[in-house]
Amino acid sequence: MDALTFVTPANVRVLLVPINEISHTDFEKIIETLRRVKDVRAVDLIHNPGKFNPQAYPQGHIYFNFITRDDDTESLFLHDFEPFRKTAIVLGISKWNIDLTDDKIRDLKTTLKKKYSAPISQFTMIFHCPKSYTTTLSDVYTVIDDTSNMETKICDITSRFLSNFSTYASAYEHTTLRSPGNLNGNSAAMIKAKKKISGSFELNPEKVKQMSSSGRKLKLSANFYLMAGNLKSALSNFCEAIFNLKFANDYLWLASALDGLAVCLFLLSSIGAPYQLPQFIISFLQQAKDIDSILSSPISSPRSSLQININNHDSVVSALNIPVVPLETVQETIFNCGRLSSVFFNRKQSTHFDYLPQVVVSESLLRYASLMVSISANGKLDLNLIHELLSVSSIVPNKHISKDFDMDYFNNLCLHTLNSDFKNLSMNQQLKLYYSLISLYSMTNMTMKKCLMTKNFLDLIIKSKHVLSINRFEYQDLNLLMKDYCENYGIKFIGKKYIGTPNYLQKKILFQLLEFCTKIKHYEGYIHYSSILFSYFRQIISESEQLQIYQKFKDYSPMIENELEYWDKNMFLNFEFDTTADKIVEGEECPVNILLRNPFAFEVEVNKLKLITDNSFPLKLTTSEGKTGIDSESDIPSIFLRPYSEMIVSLILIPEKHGDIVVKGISASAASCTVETFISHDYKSISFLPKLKKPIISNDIELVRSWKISVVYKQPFLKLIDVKLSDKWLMLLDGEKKQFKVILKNTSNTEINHLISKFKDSTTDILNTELNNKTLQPNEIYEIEYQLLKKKPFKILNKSDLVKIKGNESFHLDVEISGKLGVNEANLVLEYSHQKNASSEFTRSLNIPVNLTVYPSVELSGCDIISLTSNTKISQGNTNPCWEYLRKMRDENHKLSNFCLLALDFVNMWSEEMEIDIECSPQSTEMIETYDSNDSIDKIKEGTFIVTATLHSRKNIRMFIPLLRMDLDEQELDKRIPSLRNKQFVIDKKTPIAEQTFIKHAFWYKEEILKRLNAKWRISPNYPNSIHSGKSGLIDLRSFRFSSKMIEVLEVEKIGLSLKLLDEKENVVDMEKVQLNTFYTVRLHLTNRNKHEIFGIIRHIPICKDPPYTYEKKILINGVLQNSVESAVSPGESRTYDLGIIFLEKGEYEWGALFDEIDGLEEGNVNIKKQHLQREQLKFKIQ
Amino acid sequence: MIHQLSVIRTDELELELELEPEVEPEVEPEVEPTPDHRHNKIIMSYYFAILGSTNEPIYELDIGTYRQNGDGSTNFPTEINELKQFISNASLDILENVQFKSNQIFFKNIDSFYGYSIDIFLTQGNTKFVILTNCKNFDENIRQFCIEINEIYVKKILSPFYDLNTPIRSKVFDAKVRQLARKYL
Repeated sequence: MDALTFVTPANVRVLLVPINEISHTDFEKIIETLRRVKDVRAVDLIHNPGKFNPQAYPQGHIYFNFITRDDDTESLFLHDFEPFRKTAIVLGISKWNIDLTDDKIRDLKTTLKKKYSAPISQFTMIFHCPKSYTTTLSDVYTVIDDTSNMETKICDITSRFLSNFSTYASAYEHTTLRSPGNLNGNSAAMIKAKKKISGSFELNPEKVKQMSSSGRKLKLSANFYLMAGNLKSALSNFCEAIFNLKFANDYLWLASALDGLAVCLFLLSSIGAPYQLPQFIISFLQQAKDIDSILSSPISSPRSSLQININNHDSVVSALNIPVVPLETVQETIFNCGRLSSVFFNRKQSTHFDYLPQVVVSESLLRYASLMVSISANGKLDLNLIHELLSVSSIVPNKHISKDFDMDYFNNLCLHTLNSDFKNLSMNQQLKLYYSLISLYSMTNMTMKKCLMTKNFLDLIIKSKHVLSINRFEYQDLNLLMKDYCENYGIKFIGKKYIGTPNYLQKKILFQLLEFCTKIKHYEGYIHYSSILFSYFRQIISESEQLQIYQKFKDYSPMIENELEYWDKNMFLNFEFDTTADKIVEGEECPVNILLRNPFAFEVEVNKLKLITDNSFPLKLTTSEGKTGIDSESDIPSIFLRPYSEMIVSLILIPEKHGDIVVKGISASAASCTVETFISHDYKSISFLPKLKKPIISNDIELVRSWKISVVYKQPFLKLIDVKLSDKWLMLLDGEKKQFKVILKNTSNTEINHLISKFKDSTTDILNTELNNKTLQPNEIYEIEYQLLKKKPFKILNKSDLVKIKGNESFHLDVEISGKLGVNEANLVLEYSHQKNASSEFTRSLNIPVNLTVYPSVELSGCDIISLTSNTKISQGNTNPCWEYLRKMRDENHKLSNFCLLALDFVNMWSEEMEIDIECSPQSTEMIETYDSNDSIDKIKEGTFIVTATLHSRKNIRMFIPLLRMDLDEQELDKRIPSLRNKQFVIDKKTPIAEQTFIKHAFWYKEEILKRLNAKWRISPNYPNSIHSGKSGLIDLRSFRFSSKMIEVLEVEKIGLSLKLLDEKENVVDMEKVQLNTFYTVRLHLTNRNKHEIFGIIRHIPICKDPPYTYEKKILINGVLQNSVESAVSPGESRTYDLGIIFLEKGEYEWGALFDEIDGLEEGNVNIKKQHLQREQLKFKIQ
Repeated sequence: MIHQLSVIRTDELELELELEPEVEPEVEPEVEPTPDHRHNKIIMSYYFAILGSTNEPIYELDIGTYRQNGDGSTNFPTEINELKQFISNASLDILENVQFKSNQIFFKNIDSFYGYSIDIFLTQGNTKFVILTNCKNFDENIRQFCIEINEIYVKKILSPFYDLNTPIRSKVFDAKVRQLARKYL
């Protein structure tokens, strides 16, 4: 833009017009070149005979102002008043090419002339001509390629112009000059005004008119001289004009003449030319110091009582040998001119009679203001500054104002340019003034004022009805302006990050900028500022505003080349993958969810979604629909995020390698922005900080979230082909077993080298919950664990065949299923995988469900143990297998007292008759125990007891099983009840020790019994009309329970005491045939079956059953009833102790014995540890 | 001495704990000046804004007056209404120029624009109370108003729920400002 400078009144406006289809960039370049030669010395010019003969004042300069926009029409009414506003020269700029013939140039010239007829001269310049090229046409100037002859050509142009200008100026010599905008044109109003203001003057109206007219002419002519560089004539003309105009009180022209004088003085100083002002001018200017004017003191209206008396009228002295006026004086004089001119402008305004062109006032003020700023920035007015001001077309922006600059005053001055008439100016003029103000404020560091002006400037452009479009070339400066504008209102960026909190004022500014960008079709700017709004201001822009901006954004974004960044950096919220094992398999699909958000009021389209992984793990991401398609491109179709919402995008992930995928984020292109990486943050919230100690850097720890997924090798895939079961349904009776085949196929190419079978049935869960019961005793826990772990519903019989299953191989499993009461569904779970190394713990499972119904068959409903004694008689006719067995045993020299009878009650719960088979081996097969050779319990040879019984439906039966009594080691019995789940053992402190001991004993004895005993049920194959005939199964005996008495019966006592009654010949006496007065010997046989030594006292306890019950007088005893074992009995040792007795009276007697086990003998702390009774007393009956 | 020191007025210690829901910054319904009669009759209006220490807008209010035949409504011409925030911001340049040169805290008529003058009250924390008005000769009232506003502003920044230089959205604060405006302006 053509900016205001102080020397504008001395400039010659040259309109540059591109012709002959010159390209824009070339045109711009040529303008730049031309601007270097804007200053032409008069001395270089050719003599011409006209008014503006350069030879008349050879020191002078002609300053060109090259402009590219013709705004003559707006200032047309001012051309007679201030001729420097007129475009003086129109210069057609063309570039040479081979087709450029003289005819063509002539055509171009004519067109140019036709189009721009108003300017004084029309010239054409042809650039980049070959050296040889010449043209004979007038007003056509050729510049060669290296522009070395350009200055010459410009001088030629100037010379030519000056001669034209002379002609032009001479046309004014005989015209009456009228004030601008005043169509009546005569000075009647002026005189009226004058009379009103200074009525005391006795003035002849005719003279006034004359003076005014001549003053105006002189002033105009002075302006012409100023433009033509003839400063001497200009100075004298101005001085004379001022005198005349002052006299005529023609304020407007006077003010303008004063401005002209100031410029003239300035230029005189620039060439160092001496001058002398006429005395009246000096004194007139001296008065300026005393006047209140806008320029001298703020906020005051001019005094109406101002008296300016001009008494002296000297003609302009133009003497030689006048010293050069010092610059301080020049400065003072210039500002005095300024003050006066502002006063007169103001006075003109206050008269209301005449039209005052606002643009003249404003520009005049701004010219002084800019000079003031420049001087202040430079420190003082010196020649450097003057030359700088002359050479640079616009105000130098890089210098800044000194500190003591009176900002307040300056501000006031500037604001006066914007008074109420300002609104009536044409838009271009307003813009020009605003632009000048912007640059002035910018130089004086008044940023906020500058912003206000910028706002007005932009608003004006927005409001204008013209369709504006700016060359892309000029965007750079514009962008700087807008950036600066934003920054001053706190829209600041460090790098690309916005700092500060968005507020409504900033929003307003950004919206204004958007409007502005729309207006000038600055799409990049629009996109930039709308991005800022979307990124940081979305909370305070309403839905409709967002939609509106976005609509335009969509329209404009294709028109710019820049890559855009998406506004919401936190678009990606979460990544989820729902494999329960946290592992996925190479080459297989894995569903993943990506959570995206859209905080905007419009729909956002997301494209080119990809996962960002460490080391860019090879993987494929598709949609679930896409997987069926043949489309090989892994690109995911566009995802549309609804306004103000979060959305889960379900995708399929296929890893193409094994290893670990670490998902860091996603990359995507959102809302047609560039592809960006989005990561998700974890915010660790900080505790509430004390208000005063607010840290500068936020304590928020941002953690970038990442997700790790293990990918294992390619894994096989098993498929169930068939289950060989009729009707796929099984009906079993409790304890029954059935075999069937399961056919499976490995459908993948990978071999299975790891296969684990697991079983699950419907009781598993119930038992598991039961196990959590804390009050259970260890033996009860064991029972549950046994049911869970040992009694599995399935058994795979051909395990050994299944070492490796190759890819695409079919195989079968032989499965045995056993009926367990309460099961209605059983699952065979196969866990399989291909394991390359031990670390990969991936397994896949195949579930084979088997539907089955289990009915109760035969149950154990009760139990007992009955002891047998050596006196037990077996009746002859008793053919019960139990007794038969015992008889056989007795015949084999076994003592009956070593046996006991196990009584088991069975119930047939089934609807048909059952046979029960019970087998009982005398020794458990696993248990290998050696007894001492003289142990009383002799080894029983292989003789297994087998019994069979038939049981009708719903009937009970009690079956007796002879059982060899058990001699389990004390230590064995004292072992802890094992935990099948390998749970940690917890010492039970609540249960009494006696009870704990009992539980342990009961447990181990039961285990021993179960090892020996084996019960089966069978439905006789001969049973008529039953589909179940021939079935058989095991009877569960685990429900067997002990009472303490039963244990006593069962166990073999640890210290065996057996009594025998012998006669003199050491023969065993029949108990029935004991006689009086005969010598007998009671032989006590003591066996230590413990694993440790024992010591103690043996006591004989004779009892008499007939009254009187004392035995002392009935039995004669040879010895003592109590005696010590004397020395410790070592383990396994047996000793016999004899005691001689004679019965003295008839009657019934019993003879018992007792062993008091004593310990602590060595320590001297003797006590009875335990009392052992003998098992069978001797019972005599003496007749 | 001890006696004097121990006297602490409880009402001074009371902190204003404002827990009421946040409200949008008060936006006065724009009074469209009816073309003719209003334009001629000059109705005095004030625009009051609090600008934070780094010049961000914190609070703003259009204030009408009942003095000088006012009816309590605001009457800014359209262009001033659009520009008032910017005009008040622009005056900060002048303030920055003078604020460290003198020790006064109230700068009357520091700037003017389109016939509206600007008064600024500068708090110790560099917060500015800017008043844009076309009233003349009410400087003392404006000064008193600003002093009282400073009181409630200081109480406001003592609140643990308020961060410095963030917009004031408290209804209580707003009501108090209006009350003071009615009293002084």
